[in-house]
Amino acid sequence: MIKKLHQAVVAVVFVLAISMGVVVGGSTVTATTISSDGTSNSAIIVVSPNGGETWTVGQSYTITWQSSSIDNVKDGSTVVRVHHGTSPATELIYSKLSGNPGSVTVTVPPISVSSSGSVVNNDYYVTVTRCLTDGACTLYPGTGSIGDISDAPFTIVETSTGSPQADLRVTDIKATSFDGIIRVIVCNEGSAAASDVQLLTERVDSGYLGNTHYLIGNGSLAAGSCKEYGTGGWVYFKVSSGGTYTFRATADPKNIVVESSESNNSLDKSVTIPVVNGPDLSIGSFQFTPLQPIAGQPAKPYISVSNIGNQTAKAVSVLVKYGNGQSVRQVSTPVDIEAGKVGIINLDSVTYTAAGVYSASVTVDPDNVVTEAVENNNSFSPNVTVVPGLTLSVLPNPQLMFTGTEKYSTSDGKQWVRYKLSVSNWTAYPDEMFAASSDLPPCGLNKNASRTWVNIFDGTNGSYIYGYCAFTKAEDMTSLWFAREPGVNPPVSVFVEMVDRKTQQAYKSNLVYFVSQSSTPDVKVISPNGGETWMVGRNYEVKWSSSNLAPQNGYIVVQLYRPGLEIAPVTVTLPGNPGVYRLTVPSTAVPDTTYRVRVASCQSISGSVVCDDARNKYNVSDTSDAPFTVVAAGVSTGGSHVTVLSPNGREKYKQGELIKIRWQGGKEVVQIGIVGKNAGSVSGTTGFSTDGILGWIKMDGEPNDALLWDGKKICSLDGTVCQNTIGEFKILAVSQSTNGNLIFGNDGINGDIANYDLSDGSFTILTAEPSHIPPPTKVYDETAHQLQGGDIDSILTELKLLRNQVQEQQTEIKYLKSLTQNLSVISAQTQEAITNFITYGVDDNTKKLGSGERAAVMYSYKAAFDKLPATDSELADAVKIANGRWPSEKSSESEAKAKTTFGTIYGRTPDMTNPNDNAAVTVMAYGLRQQAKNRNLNSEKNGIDIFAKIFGHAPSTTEEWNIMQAITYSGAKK
Amino acid sequence: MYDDYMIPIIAIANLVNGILSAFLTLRLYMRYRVRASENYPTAGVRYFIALYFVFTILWLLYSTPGLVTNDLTWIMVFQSLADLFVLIGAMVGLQIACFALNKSNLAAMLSIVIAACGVAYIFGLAFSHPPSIREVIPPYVYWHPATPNWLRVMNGIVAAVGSLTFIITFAVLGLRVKSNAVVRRRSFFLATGMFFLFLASLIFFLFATDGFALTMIASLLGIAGLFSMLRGIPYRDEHNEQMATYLKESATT
Repeated sequence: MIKKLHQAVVAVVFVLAISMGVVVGGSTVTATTISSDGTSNSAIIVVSPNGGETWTVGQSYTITWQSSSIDNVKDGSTVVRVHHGTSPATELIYSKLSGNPGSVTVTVPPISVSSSGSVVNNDYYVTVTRCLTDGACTLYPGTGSIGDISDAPFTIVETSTGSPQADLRVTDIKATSFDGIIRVIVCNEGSAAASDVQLLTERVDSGYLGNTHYLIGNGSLAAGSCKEYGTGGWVYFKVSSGGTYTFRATADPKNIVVESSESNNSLDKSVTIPVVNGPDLSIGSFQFTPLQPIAGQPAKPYISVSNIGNQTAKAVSVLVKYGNGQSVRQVSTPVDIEAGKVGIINLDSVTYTAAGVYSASVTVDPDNVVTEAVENNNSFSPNVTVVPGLTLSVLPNPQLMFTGTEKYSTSDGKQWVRYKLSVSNWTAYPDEMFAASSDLPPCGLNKNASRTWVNIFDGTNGSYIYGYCAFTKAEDMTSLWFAREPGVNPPVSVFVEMVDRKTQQAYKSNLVYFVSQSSTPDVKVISPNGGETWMVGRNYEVKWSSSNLAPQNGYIVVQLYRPGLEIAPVTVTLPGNPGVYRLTVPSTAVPDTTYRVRVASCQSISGSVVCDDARNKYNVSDTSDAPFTVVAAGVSTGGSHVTVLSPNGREKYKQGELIKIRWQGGKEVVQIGIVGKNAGSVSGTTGFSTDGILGWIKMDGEPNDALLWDGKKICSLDGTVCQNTIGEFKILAVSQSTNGNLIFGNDGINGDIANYDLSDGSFTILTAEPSHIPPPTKVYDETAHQLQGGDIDSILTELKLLRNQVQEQQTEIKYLKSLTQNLSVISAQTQEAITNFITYGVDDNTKKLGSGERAAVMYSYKAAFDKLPATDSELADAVKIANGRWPSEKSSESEAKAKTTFGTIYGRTPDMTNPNDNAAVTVMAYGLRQQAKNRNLNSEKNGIDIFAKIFGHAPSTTEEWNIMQAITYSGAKK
Repeated sequence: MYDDYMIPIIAIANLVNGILSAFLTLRLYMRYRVRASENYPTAGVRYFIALYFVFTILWLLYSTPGLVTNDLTWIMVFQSLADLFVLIGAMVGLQIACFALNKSNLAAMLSIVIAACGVAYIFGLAFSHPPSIREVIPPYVYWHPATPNWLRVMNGIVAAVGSLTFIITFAVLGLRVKSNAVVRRRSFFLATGMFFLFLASLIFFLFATDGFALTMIASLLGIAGLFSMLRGIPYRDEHNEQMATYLKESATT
């Protein structure tokens, strides 16, 4: 039992050890268990050969293995096999041994030959197996065996005498003629082809100190064949003059080819090269600069000619045919080429127009002037490869501009109008483009027409108008023109096209438009036009008008500048002609009172915007009529300059309707007046034109203020002359000048700059309707807008009230909380608007109503619409209700309810076409308030009494108070 | 001519930023290749390489006015292309944020939205592509796009949303990772870097013509942003941490 246990432990340790890579016999053996007997204790390990060895056919070798716990096998025999690959089908050796000897010696039989004829000499393995059952030993791999296989393949080789091999031999070294080329004959005398033959040729003359070795060629050489190296495009070894030389040629100098004999690869031989008397010209090379000619671009060829004779060759010339139809015959420089020297012949540039391979030919001494030792080596036929060139043009397109018109008459007395054009970027073109070119087709009878022709075309349909073919220089393009008879319109637009006839390159210009020859292009600065005050860091609107500008003048340049000073603080280039631009006054602008704005019409030339080219008639500009002021950041412009904010143009009012006049800025006092629509400053003694009317509305206004004016009669300062104000007017606001004077129009003396402003545009006052003055809806809308926007300061200014936040809080506590009950979320903005309305009112009427009545208006609104006013229009409706006006929004539910109540009061159905019935229903539905000035408390007392009689109690709710209002003021009767 | 010899200060600043960004992109890429060859996960780093590459392109495009061309039409083309790269940058930034939050679906959705903005931008330009406006405030010259406002506003909103999302994501992740100082520090570097870049672009946008000092401040903020973000990218061997690991940890902490 103990022995069994010990055996088991040993077996486990053994298996573990070999599985971990135990070193056995100096090499690492990795176990490969093919199969087991089920005990997991049995194992055989092949020790040798285990991979990497080389066996030779006919030699004997020992196969060894180790084993463990294989006593229980029934057969008692061990099988050893040597086989190709891991399959037993190509078995080389099979040996069944009795017992488990641990080793066996085998003799390697001849190995098999594959189907391709090559010897299979690698990928051999040894397998050792121990049989478990009878007959099962032949199965491999398979179950029922214990065994192992070599970890890696080993090699079996045939004896070396049997394999076919190459055998290279240098058989001769010779010079067949005097061309300087040494030829070497190499033969393969072996039975196999030599696949990689190299040849080394050395000059080994006694006393020769040269160290030049030439390794030439490589390639295969079939068994039994010879090859002459030194011809057929191989690199060759060349000497420059006749004489006797000793050469050594060595085949396979690096011993790459496996040969049957390595001792016959080299040959030394003296070669006599005949000495020739006289010059002998030979073409060395034919090349270009650049190395590969580019299509369409000139390339400079040159030829090297060697004189390999022993005398000077005189008057050497060459004839070159380029293969593109061109040829040249030229003498070398220097003309004579000494013996053994090389002459370079530089030729004129040649241009291949298209890419491709051209067959050229070069012949030295084509006329056979030089008597040479050898005359048959004077020609060379190289191929010239021309690569495609870039087609991008480096020249820009011409920038065309219209420079004006002029009348002229021809010799027959006929009148014409000349339309003058100019290419503004003519300096971009070399004068060579306009050189007389007799080699190009003539222009009519002119055989020396310019290389480049300039043609004028109609921009609309591309038809030809006129052309120039005899220019001599690029500057001539500044004097282009075409003519039309007087009264005949020119084309809408034209362009020019330059055609370089040599390169077939065309350059097309921009379009030039002829807008209207009878009208003059114009730009006019509208604002700032003098008197304004701008602050550094802020942006202001620059406005301009323009007329008759041509489309090619595609840019407007706006510049803030001070006349007389070169550097403008800011210059803006705008694409198109927008007519307005908000210009930011940069921090670099120095505060001054002499600023103006310049607006210029400009065009783009080669990417640059040009405004001042006097030749372009559309390059026009304008500046502010008068200077304006730029003040430093933080300086209040309101304190020094007054600006009319409203009405500022296009408004329409009916006389009697309240007009809100607002202004910004001003210094201490602001006077507000009304003037005619064309009023403004004029140059001259009067300084200001009132356009027929000047009346003062307010003489003691304050800066940043506003007022309401009913648009009725306006009177002179002393009140003696009054005038009806129906028509178009502007508001004039005047404040203190720099010297504290109230002047307008021209500036005063001693640098006293006037401080005034006019409405930008005129507004209209219409005749009031005689019977009824319509509600001043516009005022309500504007007031509501202020209320909704939180502009309580403006409202308070108008009401002449101070803000009282304590009162606002009381309003919130007293009214707002109950108003907002049962409503969804009310925005803070709405709450603020309602609080302000209840606290202060928004106009004289609502101010007089009192906060209780104003709160009642809100309750009425809520009752009618089941919401509180939140938007501009809703607040306007609330203001209208407070002023006794019909709201814009309607509530059919409230009106239906009011009509029912109307029936209760008056015992009949209301007639909505009757103004009194309509008023009663509307007052009850929406709670319209009687204006404060029209309220009559006695009437209201009677109304309360009537209400009490009808309903049995005094009014208490909002709706009931509305009913009382309707009874009191509507005029409806039973 | 009104603007001869004026200095294109913003273009120069953008060129400096572009060159620097190109250098950092290269540096990041070289390090990325080394790490990739060592079989470290590098998905997150790839996003940052893309982001730096986009920065390089857009800055170089923004540097063309006055340095490459003075033609207002070509300037419009280059600036519009740069604007498109702003959208691409916002897309990459949002991808990184989504990667950090492990929200690949959200990333895909946002990419589609931004791509739609890009298409809208291209269509908008196709209909209205006025040349740029040139403004000369001696000694400097500036260029402003004259493209429709809605295009510029759309671009600005996308860029702002992209960068703010990036900032908030990494700031919050950094705050949440309390146990890992390295991750926390990197998160804050990423958030701070993008914040600097956001601030720089805001200065360029709001005070574009206020001269040398503000331009330099904006440019320096841009450079600081690039370097700060670089310190937040786990491309170095420090602690052998990987972007993916770190981002996932920070997202789940």
